[in-house]
Amino acid sequence: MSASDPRATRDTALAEIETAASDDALEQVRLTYLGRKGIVPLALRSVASLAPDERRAAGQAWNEVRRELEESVEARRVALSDGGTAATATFDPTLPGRRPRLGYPHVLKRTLEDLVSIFRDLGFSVADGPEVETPQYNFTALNIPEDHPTRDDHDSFFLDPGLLLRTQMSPVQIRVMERMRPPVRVVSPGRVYRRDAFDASHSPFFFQMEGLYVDRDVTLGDLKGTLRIFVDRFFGESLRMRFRGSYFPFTEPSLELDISCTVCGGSGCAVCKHSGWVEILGCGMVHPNVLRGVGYDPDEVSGWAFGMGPDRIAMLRHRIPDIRHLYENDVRFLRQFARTR
Amino acid sequence: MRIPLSWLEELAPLGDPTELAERLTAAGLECAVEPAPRIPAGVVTGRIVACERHPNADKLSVCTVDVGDGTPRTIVCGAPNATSGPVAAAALPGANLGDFVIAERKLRGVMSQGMLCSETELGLSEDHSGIILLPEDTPVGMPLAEALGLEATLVTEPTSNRGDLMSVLGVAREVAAVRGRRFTPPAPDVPADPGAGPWNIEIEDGTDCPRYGGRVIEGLRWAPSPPWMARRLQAAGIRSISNLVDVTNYVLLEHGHPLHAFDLDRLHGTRIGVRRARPGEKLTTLDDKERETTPDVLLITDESGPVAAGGVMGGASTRVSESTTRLFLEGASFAGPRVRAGSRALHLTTDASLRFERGVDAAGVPAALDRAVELLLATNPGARLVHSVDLHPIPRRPAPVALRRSTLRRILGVDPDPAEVRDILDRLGFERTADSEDRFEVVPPSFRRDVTAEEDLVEEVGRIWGYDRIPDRTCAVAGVSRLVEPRVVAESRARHLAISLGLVEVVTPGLVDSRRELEIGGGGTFFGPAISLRNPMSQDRDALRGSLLPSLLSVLETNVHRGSRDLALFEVGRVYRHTGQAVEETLRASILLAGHGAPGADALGGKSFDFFDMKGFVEVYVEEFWGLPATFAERAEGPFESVAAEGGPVLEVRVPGDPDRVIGHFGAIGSALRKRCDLPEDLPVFVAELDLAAGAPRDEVREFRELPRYPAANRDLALVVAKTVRQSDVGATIVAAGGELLEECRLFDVWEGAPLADTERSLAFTIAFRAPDRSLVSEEVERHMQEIVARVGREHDARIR
Repeated sequence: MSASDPRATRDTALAEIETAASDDALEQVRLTYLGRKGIVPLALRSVASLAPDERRAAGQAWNEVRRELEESVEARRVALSDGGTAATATFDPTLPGRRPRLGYPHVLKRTLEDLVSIFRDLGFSVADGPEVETPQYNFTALNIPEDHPTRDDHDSFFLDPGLLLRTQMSPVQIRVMERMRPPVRVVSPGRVYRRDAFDASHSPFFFQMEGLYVDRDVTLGDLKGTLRIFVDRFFGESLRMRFRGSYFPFTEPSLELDISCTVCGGSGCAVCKHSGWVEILGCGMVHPNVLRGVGYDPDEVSGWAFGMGPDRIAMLRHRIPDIRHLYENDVRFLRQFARTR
Repeated sequence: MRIPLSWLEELAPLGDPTELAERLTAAGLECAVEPAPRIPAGVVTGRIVACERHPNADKLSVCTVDVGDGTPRTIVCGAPNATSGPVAAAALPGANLGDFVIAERKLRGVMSQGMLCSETELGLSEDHSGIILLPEDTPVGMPLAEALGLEATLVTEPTSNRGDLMSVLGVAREVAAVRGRRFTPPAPDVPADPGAGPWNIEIEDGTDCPRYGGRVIEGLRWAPSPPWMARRLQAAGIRSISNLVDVTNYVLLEHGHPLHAFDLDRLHGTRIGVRRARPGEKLTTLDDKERETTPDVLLITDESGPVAAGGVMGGASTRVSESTTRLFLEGASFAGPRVRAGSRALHLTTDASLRFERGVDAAGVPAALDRAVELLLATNPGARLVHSVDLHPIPRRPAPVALRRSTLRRILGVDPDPAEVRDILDRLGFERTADSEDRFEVVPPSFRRDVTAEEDLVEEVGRIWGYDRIPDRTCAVAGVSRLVEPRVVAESRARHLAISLGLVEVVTPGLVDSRRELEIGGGGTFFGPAISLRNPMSQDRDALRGSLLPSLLSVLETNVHRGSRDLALFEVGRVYRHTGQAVEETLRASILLAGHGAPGADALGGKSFDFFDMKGFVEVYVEEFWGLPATFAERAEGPFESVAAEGGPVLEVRVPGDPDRVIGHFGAIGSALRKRCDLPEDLPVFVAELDLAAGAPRDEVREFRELPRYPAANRDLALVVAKTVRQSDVGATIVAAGGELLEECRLFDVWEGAPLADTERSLAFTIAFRAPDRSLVSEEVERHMQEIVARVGREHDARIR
């Protein structure tokens, strides 16, 4: 191949570089023009044999060509590695992204976290206790009479020797009060067990969260005010609340708290059994016998307690119709409530 | 309990019923007004004047029904209780029963001009045992709703401590209290006490039966109840049977006292005993079932033996019937726990037993009996009260209870006007015995055995005064809690660590199938055994778990069978183990990886989980949780075998510093388990379980360390070693030989194949050297590299590739 004309050589070479379809093809083009025995180096070497007045111009011209071709080859190499130029593109940006796996909590645990965090903001800490309890902690210390039905085999799970699975989170309250002096301000979330048949709204195992506040001058007014904050923050501020009298052995007075139905807003639907209200927790002023039992003087300190069912609350919040979904762990169910925080 | 509003209104003015229900509910008696059931137009009363067997069907009868319009209808009926004489509920053509419209049609060849209805067909109850039959004197052609006296009712659900609210009188007292009125129950109008005559009551143990009373009445005649009583019972949900039976039910509702009527002609002698059953004694109860007794059962006896199970159900032998003319009417107070035990032992729960369990006021026994006598005499012309007995071995005088005004203020956070407090106590039937502006002393009424202490009076005042009147107050910030629970902290960290690794949380029941647990765990120390429950509800949940893995494998099974194969799951939860007489509860984490690592990425060459994915999870988890790198050891045998088998090796996890303590295991699940869970052969499944109680989690507060100022010198080293040489051993040699300046040694490539021999592989490491105070010169680095090459050559027969 004649190399007499730098301009022609450059045009031909640039065209070949631009149409090189692969790294190998490009390398072939590079060797042809820029290799040790390529056209451009040979031409440069032959410059020496030219007339002295031509040498300088020819040398400059070929050096310019070499520089230009080297740049083009490099540019083409980058273009090829990026997937080719528009003319030869195979890049499809609509292919699906490689999605990293997302980790997230179970809807029930997240409900618990949300409940706990509200009370943490109000100065409560989280208390812990055993699931396998003694009748003393699960019943006696809670002012539950010796002949109360919940003590028999029919309602509670027993294991030897003389132990049982806690039926409520209240034994944790007793254990906390035994460990510290007032002020006591704790919530205790955890698993509880009762001999209820497994159906859409009952399970022999479920979660509970209880709260306890004992100090001087703690009144029913504090309980109402605190639960108002809780309902506003957890369910939203538009809901109506209704306290009504009730009965629990470990509180006196005992109350239950209803909120206006989160589904129908109070006009009546299947969720609230057409009453417009849904019950969300039981509460009351800690019974003096309970305080005496842990060595507190009920004439000195008073306190309130509440207990709620996170299973039920999660079901209400997310409109989950069947409690069994919570313990089945079908990933298609879990994914519906994916939220990392 | 269901109370017809008209009944209640007779005793206490109600005002607006819906608003009343709200007030009662707020005061602690949960209740709602239920409107009268609606009966479709075209359903009327009709007398069955004739009832004959259907010519073509054994179970059908052909009735001639008079609906008062002069044209008797022929109606085919399938109910077993269809008979000529009584008045029935007849739905005539055109009546719309919701599911269908009545029309004339042929039934087995006979034209039927309507339908005789059961309660179910009219939506009144679940009772479909037969058609509705009304007393014979019921007018015909009357709309059924009118004939049944259907009306709105108050449906109440009293709490378990308020046995007194299981009666119309009790609810009426509560109504009066919330309406600001006093309540005085009407006094029955009865003849003077005729005395006990020959009657003698013997109570074995007064704690089982604090009071037993009786009335003997003669000159009775079995007849339908008067319509007003029948309707009232019907509206309250009780079927009217006859005057003699209905009276006991009526008083049961009105006073809350279960009474029992014995046919006096079937009772032997005049000595009534109340005692525990003796071994082997049997009793045939009113439902005609012969029942075995136990010493838990309280029996009522006559001179021949047991005639009733006290507080539960009467006996069949002394049953009141159409021939009854004389009654022994029993009114007693049986102890709640005794009745509950008896009811359990007999496997029999009745309206009476439920009331006794909540507590029936012994002091109210005479009034209930008197009321029954009053009603019987009023509805049976010629009847007479002959004898009256009452044995009350343990009378109870309630003790006075004091309420301080300061306590009200301290507990409720309000200070009600003393006059208002007194009024509330009066309205509820408390007898005031001493009084001042700051202290109220009262004796609770006998029917309020739930009130024994000051706090009970606080509740009484609070609920009637109105909880909604107590102003909200937000607790003072001064009392911030200082409690920190290590296990709560550990659980939260463990969960959020797993979540940050991209794992999805599951929550499984703590109750498991002990057989399955044993199969999977093999009974070893780490994986079991489960703790058995003494009274499980079912065999598949008969124990507390000893390991999280069986539950996690159940979740895998459920999901795979429903088509979800790509899983990366974890659970943080407790496992349970006996330690002597106690049970230890420890926190563990379990991880399960199955199928593809990145679901949906198959198109881009996604890859299935393998052994080293799981190992990586465990390594990071251990390092992040405890702040220490894990070490691993292979298990040759042990409880994990059934999980692993040929799926790959099983590794024990240990933390440095306590080399004897195994804190976890991981591996692939084996073929036996795969078969039992019916998992596809090609699905990779790896599980891990870590004991989070094995040590304290790493401290959260970390100290700053200076960032390196001088560059590292990096060298790559590819070594050829025999395949039997472990990477970890080579790496350890490199670190040991590299000197103080070696910062990091990391494996970056493993390669096998030509030109290496079949027995060889290449391990490529990248090694970083760094000095804290200078840039390293290459001579220094080369010297260390030479030492490394020499040592791995000596110790592992390694050569540079």
